Amino acid sequence: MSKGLDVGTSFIIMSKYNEDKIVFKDFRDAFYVIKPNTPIATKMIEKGLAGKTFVKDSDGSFIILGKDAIEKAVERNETARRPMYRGVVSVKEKEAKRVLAYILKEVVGKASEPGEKLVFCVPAQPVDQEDDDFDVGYHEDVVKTILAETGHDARAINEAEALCYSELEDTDYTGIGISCGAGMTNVCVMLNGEPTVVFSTTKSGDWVDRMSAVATGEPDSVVQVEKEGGGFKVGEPNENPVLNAVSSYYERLIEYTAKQLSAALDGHKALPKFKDPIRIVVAGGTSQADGYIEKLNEKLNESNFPLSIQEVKHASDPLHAVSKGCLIAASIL
Amino acid sequence: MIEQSLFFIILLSIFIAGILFDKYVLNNNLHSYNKPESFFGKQRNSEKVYKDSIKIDDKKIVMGIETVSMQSKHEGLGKTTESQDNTQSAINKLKSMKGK
Repeated sequence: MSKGLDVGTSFIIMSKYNEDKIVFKDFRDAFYVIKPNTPIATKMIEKGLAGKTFVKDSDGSFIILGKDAIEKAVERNETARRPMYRGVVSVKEKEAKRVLAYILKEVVGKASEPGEKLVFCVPAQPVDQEDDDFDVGYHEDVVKTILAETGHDARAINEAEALCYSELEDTDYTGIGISCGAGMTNVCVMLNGEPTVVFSTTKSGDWVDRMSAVATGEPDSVVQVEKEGGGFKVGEPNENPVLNAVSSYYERLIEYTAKQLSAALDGHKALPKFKDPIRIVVAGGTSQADGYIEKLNEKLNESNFPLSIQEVKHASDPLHAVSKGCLIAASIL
Repeated sequence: MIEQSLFFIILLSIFIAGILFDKYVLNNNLHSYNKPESFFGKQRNSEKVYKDSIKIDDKKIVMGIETVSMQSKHEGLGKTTESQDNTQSAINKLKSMKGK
């Protein structure tokens, strides 16, 4: 048996086989802490959290997890916290590692046999930011340590490489995979199953939330909830001021991504000379906005993309594609 | 004799010019880029030991991550969905491409 694991900024998604099916388990990567001041407040809060997903910590605080954390934060006009930031374990959050460890252990569960193979994804080095806080090696070690405790033999794979393994079978694993997560956009150029160029940019869905929140004066979590409710098309005006801002910033994000992609690949020493036009496959929660794929295609054409494009295609299951690629990789080990 | 010496000096000059061209012109035009290694390639090379350089390992250490004191107040985490397994042909194709 083997498992795939997409350790994302916004979602943790585990995949495994169950007879002729693939089972996916998704959990929202978020938490919100309530620290009661008195024993009476403790009882009241615990009663109020009945039916929610939470844990009680040794210092008496309540850590609400997942979707419930976002709902609680919105209720209090605040922003939920994240154990991950821009694709790696957050160094800004004191509780990040503990919360991430707890969520991963619960979602992944114990290994079905000692040393069960598990492949999890990690981001590539970003091309648009040099930041000491961005330490993929440390992030990889943290996740491996956590998963070793559950009995797994865990190995890391590049996020966009995993996407290519999931979606480029009918082009003999030749093309480009773009994984648009919450914290980052990861890119892999693949030729016959070998990644030739991998990189990431640090702007994606969270950037849209942050900028829209600043523009409208709403907390990020409120913007996130509105955005995920849909009801807008990328680049088109909307009557709802939050969605109007989201639509506008989405278009800017896609333009930025297309320009970064073109600039990073233009004249790149390792870029293969593809004989045929290539397929670009896009996945990730951020790519699920209405009009995202059409707009990306349009912006790539405008930004003098250095390769001939056959099509820009959405993954068959955009939210689960990376986890499925990890599962495929784990099955080959 | 003078002609031979002149010829030899010209050849030497061309040789030195070639070295200088490579060092100062060609190298400047190349991106400093390390080709990424495939996930499967990394697995093959994980046993390699590099002896050509001795460096101190200054990687950040992962200290113990304690979760025992977090008392669960919920049932299982995560929403489960299922889809038909359509990965077997991809796995077989990748296995043959990777020589597994």
